[in-house]
Amino acid sequence: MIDQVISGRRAVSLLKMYTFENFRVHALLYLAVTSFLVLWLGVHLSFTNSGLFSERTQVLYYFVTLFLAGCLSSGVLFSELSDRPKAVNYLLTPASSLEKFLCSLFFGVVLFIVASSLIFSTINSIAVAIANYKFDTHWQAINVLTLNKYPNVFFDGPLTNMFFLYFPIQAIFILCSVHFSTHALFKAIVCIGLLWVCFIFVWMFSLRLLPNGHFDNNLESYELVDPSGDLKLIKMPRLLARTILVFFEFLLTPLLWCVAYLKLKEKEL
Amino acid sequence: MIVIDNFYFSYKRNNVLAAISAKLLPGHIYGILGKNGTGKSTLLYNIAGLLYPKHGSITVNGFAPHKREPRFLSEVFMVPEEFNLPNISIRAFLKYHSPFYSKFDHEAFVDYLRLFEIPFDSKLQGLSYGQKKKVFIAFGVATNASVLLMDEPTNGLDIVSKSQFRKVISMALAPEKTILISSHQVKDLENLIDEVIILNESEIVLSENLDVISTKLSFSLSLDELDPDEVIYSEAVLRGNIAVTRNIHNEEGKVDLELLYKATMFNPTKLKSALN
Repeated sequence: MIDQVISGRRAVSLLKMYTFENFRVHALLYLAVTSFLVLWLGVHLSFTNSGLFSERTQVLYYFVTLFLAGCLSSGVLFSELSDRPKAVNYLLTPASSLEKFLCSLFFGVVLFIVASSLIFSTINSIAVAIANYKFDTHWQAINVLTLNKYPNVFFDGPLTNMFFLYFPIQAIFILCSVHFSTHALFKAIVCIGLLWVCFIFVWMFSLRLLPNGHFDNNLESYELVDPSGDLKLIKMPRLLARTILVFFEFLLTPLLWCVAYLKLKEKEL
Repeated sequence: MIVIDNFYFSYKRNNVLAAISAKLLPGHIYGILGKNGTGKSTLLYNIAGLLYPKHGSITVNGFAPHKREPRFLSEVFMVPEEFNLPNISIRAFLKYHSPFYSKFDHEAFVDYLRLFEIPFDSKLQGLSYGQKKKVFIAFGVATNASVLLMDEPTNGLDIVSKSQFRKVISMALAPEKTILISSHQVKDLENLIDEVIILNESEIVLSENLDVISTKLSFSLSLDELDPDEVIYSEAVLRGNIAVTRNIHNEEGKVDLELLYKATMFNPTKLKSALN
């Protein structure tokens, strides 16, 4: 029975077929990422501000490119399903839903992050070298494999924590591309917007409910001033805090992938 | 074998198929006839596992189609009315798609292409819609899938191609294969199918073997007035009347599918009593 869920021979055939038939689409995607970076960094090179190529801004360029290209491309990862003739071919290809899903995940998530990081590193190195020559500066091109060496321009904590935000958002785009039959990308953007609004609403509402004070140490503790004027610290149990953190860091993305897989498995025309 | 048991299907509140039960045996070519929107394609999509029954069940060679297990998918091939072929060469299409079908016959595929007059070295993007359809049909037949589903396969084919299609399908029939062809162009299925299923208003109004029909019904052109008791359906033509009548002399003749279809639509009760 296991060979009806996953089989090496079938998975290899599927990967070969997917690679061959989608080569142009992926080549165009990476060409678009390259063009975007060349245009963006090229425009910045034409400015007179030498600080535009500091390590801090390079980090910003990397993550903006990754978020934009990664999420937008993931929003159309299962675009076959929105086109009836293509959907018939896709769903009737004799491979399991898991094999089809893992194949798309490999190209849309794993290969994408590797390829886009490579493209960024290449173009960024050239741009930084030109900037150093033009502005007589000594900036170093960032190494995407050792991101924690650089300052976090987004929030406190190591820079690699940005991936704990990137992968769940990308997974939401993938889920939307499976779930919605039409305009999946647009609907995914709306969903992310709605989630953000809900988050802000819940945050503000919970702050209103809580007594006067503020959160401390990554939401693990809450410091409040009681009516007598004393400072009091309410701490979340360590196990609960760790569990919540592990869930958002390591479990949320696989959970969203699982939901997307189940949606694909149950997909009708 | 395809077993359809008390099957219902609806799109939201629009009932398309209701209380359908049928047993489709291997070794036969079934023609599914019906007006536009009577659920012919929906039935095929359900058998292929692309849509799920709202009630009842469908099993195909013991598989539940909606699970879309790889072994089931390699045993069922569907040629939909609107299809998509990637912009690659026929050779590449064969190389990357055929490994999924364990019984794929490469030589037969080349033979079918030759019969359809499609050069094997062609690129799919350079072919017309009809030619692409012929490539897809040739591939589907060459998979040797035990269930071959074809939704309006003759749409977009010219007159010569339609006869080539008939030849390919008749070559493909084997004792272990069940072939289902849906069409609203009744004439295209003549001399091809041996079982007919007629759908009307969400249900099967006729499901019968053509040999049985030919022993019980007579399709003839008559210059004289016909006995109204014997006539199930008739229509005036230039030289008299063509009619479907009871075959009281037990003479086996050719079944005129178009007349049979019209008789089923206009006089289902009398037709059923003549067949029983």
